[in-house]
Amino acid sequence: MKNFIRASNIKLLKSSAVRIGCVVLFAIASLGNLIFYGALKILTGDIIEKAGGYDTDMDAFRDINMLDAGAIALSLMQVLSLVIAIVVTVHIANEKRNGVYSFISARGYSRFHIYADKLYESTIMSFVMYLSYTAGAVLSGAFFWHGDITGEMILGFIIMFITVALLYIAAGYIFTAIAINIKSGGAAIAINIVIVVIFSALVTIVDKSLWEDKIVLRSWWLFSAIEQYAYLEMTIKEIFIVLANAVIYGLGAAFAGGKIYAKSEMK
Amino acid sequence: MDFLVEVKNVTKAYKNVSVLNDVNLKLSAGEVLGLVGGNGAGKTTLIRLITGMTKQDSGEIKLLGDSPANTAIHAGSLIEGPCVYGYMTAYDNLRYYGSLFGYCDKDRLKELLNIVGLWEERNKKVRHFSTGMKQRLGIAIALLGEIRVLLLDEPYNGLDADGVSELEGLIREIADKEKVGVIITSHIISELLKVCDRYMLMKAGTVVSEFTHEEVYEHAGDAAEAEAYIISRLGGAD
Repeated sequence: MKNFIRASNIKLLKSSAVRIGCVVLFAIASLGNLIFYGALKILTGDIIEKAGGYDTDMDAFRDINMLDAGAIALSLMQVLSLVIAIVVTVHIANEKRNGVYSFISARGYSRFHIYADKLYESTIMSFVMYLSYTAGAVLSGAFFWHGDITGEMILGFIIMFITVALLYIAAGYIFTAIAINIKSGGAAIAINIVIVVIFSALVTIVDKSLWEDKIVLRSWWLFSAIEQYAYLEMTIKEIFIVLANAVIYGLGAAFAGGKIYAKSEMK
Repeated sequence: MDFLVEVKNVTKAYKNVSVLNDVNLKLSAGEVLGLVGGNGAGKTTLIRLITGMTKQDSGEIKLLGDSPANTAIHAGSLIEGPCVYGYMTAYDNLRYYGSLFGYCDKDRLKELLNIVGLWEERNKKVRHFSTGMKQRLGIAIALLGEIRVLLLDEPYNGLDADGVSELEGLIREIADKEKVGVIITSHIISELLKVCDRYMLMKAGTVVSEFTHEEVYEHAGDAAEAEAYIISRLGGAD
């Protein structure tokens, strides 16, 4: 595996898809904060309160610091999920189409090695793109707000950053498991996008229908949990829920994907 | 004599359709063996079995005296096109596969690029390469490591006349200087005549005839007659 890791590092450093993904995500996060900042300047408190629907906490909008801005951006992260889904899936689809896995297999390497290598690459790609998005959110947040920051906030942000990073790495494993096992690259991209967008919407609809104001199912669907738990004051219970999501979905996808891949005929 | 590759009574079927039927093959060091046959003859399947990419239904395959699963690391292959990354340079592609296979000595990478004539283009991104250049890079990658056997499946596809000529010279040099055993498949006989020591004709998964380069020219005066002779041997085996 050391050889695979070394080789993958060479490839990922040169990958234009990952670089473009990082730049796009940094820009999107920065743009998001710019729009939010502009909206707060333009819109009156009444309008914001009406948009909020009910009991909108106006102080949340008046007393923002850069870590709040970072957390707000991180809570609007479906675009990050989609970009990671597309980059990871296209990366694997291109390699399959070019016969890379057959070629590596012809040199005596097992499907286990190939799959484990893809999980490693997905870990790096997911984390690096998440880091870019976070950097864009925090740096632009610092530019527009800064505000008063305490040690507690920094700790809260670090905890949130690490736990949500694990969720994105787990998401990457889901995308990898699907991309490596679905024959058509286009179909794999479509399936991954459906998982991120449609499933999350369905979970939200069912959650609100059954439990109205409570967040039940959304806590346990990975892509909804990302949005639910990206804030600075996570409780121990919430941290546990996030970690459980990462383990269940991440390891579950990695295991299931590997089992299916090991049994299929080499393409 | 120890053979680099031994295939004994191998049979393979896909979904009850026979692809290879009782095939035998031997390859010696420094020998270039041409597998001749039309589409569906079983050439690519045979190559894939020798590399261990897929398993035979019956029979035995030995690569360097052992099962391909144990020795495939010493068999370089170029099957159905070079597996190169367009966004990386030629050198980075070689460095990537070199790292993967545990052979990333810079001097050897330079030597390989020189062997295939790509050292001057080493910093050029592969997406800007011609088909011939990509094929040559694919051969450089196939030669990474301590290669004793080289398996080339339709390596002339997409090459112009100059590219074919360069590749033929390269294959002959690899076999003669490095004593690598080479199996090369093609349905274009005229290309094989310039480079092979021996020919194995395949049709519908069966070996229909086998002869040396000298034996061909006992029945033919020039390349055109040699090609006609081989075609007649291939077509007459109904």
